[in-house]
Amino acid sequence: MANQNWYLQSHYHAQSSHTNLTISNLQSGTVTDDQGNTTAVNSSNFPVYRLVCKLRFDTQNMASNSYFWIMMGGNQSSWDGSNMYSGDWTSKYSSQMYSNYGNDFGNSRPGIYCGSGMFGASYNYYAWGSAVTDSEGVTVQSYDVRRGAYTTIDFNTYHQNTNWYPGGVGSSSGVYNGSSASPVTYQAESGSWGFATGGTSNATYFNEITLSSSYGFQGDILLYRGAIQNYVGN
Amino acid sequence: MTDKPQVAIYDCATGEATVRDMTDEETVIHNDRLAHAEEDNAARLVAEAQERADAATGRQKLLDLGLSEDEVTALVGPAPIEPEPAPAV
Repeated sequence: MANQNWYLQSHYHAQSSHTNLTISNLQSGTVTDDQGNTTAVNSSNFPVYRLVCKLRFDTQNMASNSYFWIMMGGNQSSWDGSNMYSGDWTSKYSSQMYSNYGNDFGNSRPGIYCGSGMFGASYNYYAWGSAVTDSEGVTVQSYDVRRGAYTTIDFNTYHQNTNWYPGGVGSSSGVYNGSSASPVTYQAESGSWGFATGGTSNATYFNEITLSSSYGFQGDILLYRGAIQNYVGN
Repeated sequence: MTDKPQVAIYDCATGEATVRDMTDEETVIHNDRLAHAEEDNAARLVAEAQERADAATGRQKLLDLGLSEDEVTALVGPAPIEPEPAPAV
């Protein structure tokens, strides 16, 4: 296979419940192509960040006081320009082709706030089904972590130069627990979310990404970097 | 492991991860964010309730004019439904 331009920089598996994860020293290390050439991993050579998460949140109820933040630049980052977000409260109807959205201007958001829409997939405590026995003879209850539903998150962003951080787009998907006795067409906690931001001049260079959550989460967090050329061997 | 929230730091330079308890200072920030999220949500619920109330009174005015339920629905869509919270378990 030919050299490629994507590099899996980190894969963190949260085995236990976490509320925060910081991926640090982003501009470090080197990659090697098939010809043996090495290239430094920095914001010039690898300006694209792609964060892919598969997370299960430790909640049995999609409570109102929930938050999930993705902070490119750690706690120092902020986003200005125009931030469009389609959160949990704007995705009321699954039949809508276009979701409603909100729009922020100025440095009003220190991170990418996802709200309770992120937690819509956490229906494992609703006791669907009954206990089963796994291949090793262990009883697995219907509410066991192994039977929980996961929310997938995909966030892409691009570091253009040292003067302007243009922002990115992101989305998540999950499902509602489906436990309502009556048909539900108006459900805020839909488990889906979308975001697009105009970027910022306040965090033109960053060295870390922080995920921060009101509920503990378990699962996998992968950070890919995209390069301006095919620096990565196979 | 303790009951405190867990914080992890993954260092891309070394490939090593460190997991520790949330500090008192971080707990203050965490609780502050929870409070803000609660405020945001409360404001949203009030706004949505008002929206539904306006839709209901507007709908009633159309019915009072003599339009049928079907005609009103064809004009302005179905009557607003109270959102159903996730059931307690």
